[in-house]
Amino acid sequence: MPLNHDQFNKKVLDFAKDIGEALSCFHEHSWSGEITAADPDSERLRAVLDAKLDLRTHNGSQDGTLAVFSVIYKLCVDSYGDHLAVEHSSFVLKAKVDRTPIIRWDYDREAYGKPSSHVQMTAHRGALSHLLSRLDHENPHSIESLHMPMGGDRFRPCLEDIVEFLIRDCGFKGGADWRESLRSGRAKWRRIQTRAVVRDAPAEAADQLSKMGYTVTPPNGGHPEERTDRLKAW
Amino acid sequence: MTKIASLSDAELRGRREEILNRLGVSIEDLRARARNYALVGEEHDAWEQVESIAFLLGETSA
Repeated sequence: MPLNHDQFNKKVLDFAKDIGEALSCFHEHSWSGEITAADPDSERLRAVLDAKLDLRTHNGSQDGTLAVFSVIYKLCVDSYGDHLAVEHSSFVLKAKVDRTPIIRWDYDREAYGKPSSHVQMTAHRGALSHLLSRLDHENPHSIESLHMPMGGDRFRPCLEDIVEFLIRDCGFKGGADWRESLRSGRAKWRRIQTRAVVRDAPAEAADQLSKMGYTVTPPNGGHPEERTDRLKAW
Repeated sequence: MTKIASLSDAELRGRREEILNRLGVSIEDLRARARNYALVGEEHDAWEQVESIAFLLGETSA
């Protein structure tokens, strides 16, 4: 059944609680955030969650904030109208000195001309090296020493994603039918990964299938245990 | 984040005008600068806010 404004807002607040818990994992607990929702007199079920956290050095220097971590979620309902959906998310590490983004992790449900989930390296080497030096990083001048998370075992980009990036974003020339070939390869990869995810969390898969009208019977011993090592891995 | 501020469309448009007036730019100029990766300083935050307002107003897809 499609959500109304009150039900939507409740789901937004539940979602925001999870975000707050994640942000509280930093040493700095002084994050701030606000949630703005669309006009309640409209039919739009939309909200924007905007949270910020000042990140400081902890090496004894007198200076305060070194960078700002910004988290933005644009929330709406899914195509069925009964679940919360993320239309866009943006996690940005910004230099405090000029408020310029250094690294962005963006997701767009409806992406045009870019991958739906992507990392943007905005920094020139100097700004990032400065930040890392202030944090006593072992290799402040080696951007390659940073390993940006991309979804772990199951949700990582596939080779087809990277090839498409090299063609579309960097300008390398694609071969004949590259677009359709990559799309087919990506779909195959994601079907394989879907099966792997089901093996990681079988009870979740069974529950979702049941909600879709399937009759799912667990094995005699009950649902196999979740592979929490996979689900929790970075 | 335990409360939600629901803003009317008029309030959202007013907020957008404030942001643009503070920067002294038009929405077209700001959009063009964002498209060309030419935003500087406070313009980054301002563009994020303007995009959020457009989303809440239903001017962008969902």
